[in-house]
Amino acid sequence: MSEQTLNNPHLKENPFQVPAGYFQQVEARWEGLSGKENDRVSAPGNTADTERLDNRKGRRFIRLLRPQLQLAAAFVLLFGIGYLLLLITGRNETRQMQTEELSVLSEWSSLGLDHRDISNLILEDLFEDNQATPVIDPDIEDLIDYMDYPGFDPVNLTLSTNNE
Amino acid sequence: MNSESDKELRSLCESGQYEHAFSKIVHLYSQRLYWHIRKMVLLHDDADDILQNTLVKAWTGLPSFRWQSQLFTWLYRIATNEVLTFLKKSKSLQQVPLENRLDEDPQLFDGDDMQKALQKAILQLPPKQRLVFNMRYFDEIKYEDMSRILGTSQGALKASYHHAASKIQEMLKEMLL
Repeated sequence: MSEQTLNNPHLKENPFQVPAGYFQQVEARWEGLSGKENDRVSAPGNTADTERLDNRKGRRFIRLLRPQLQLAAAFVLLFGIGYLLLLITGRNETRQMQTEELSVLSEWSSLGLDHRDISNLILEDLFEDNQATPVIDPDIEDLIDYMDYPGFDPVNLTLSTNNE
Repeated sequence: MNSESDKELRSLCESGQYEHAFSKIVHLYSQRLYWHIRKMVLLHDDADDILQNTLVKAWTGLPSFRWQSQLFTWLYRIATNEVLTFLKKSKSLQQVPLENRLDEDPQLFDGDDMQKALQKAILQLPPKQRLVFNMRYFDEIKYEDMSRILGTSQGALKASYHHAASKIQEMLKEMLL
């Protein structure tokens, strides 16, 4: 049965289609190449033809890789936008701090202080900051006064504690 | 294929009229080359690209063609090499399997169920066996010429064709029952 099927002349007919006028276009393409672009394809073996071949290969490669390239481009774009936002906000913060410092300095300079005075002031300020709570040398009399309150006699307290 | 046209083309090339000769080559052979390519790759766009590559290579290599063999065997050899390279690349890029393409694009295929079954059966063959089967069954190319085109001995080609035909018969039997 299948032997008969393969011998069927209907099966040898071409079932594929081409766009209308395709073969005329192919011929015209090559006619045009040898006519209009005579200089470029003046002789066989011209490198321009090889370039054209490479371009077609490149186009095919790009067509096949297009989805992956689109995905990669989307990622790059997202990262780019994120980085740009971080850069802008970071720069604004720095600029704000710098503006505050500059305004203080300009205020001081308007009071007639030059940069040396300002440096000294800053150093003094730092020094004062380092001086934490001042060390108090306690005086014994002050301490007794501090502990004293009405009706309290320290002599009596000493005697009574010794008797016990 | 046609020794008269080959003689004319040879004299044109020998007198340096390559452009004129090549226009004639395109006119004489582009359709046969296209169908040879199309039966292997199925999609028109792919076949068009491969045909253009084939013609560019033929144009580039025309001065080095020695005219010792027929021109059409040389052109077929270039086209066949281009097709095999394309199929290898398509496989490595994991494109849509060829057999699925017949169902995907209604513009692509105008045949009836029996023709579709035959094409699907042919697509099950390895690429080189598919080439041999197509060239012999559809294009009715002589084994002698096929041997020059594919660089394989006639005996090996005959064996390959009969092996392919029997495989296709088996597959058609399953598909059409």
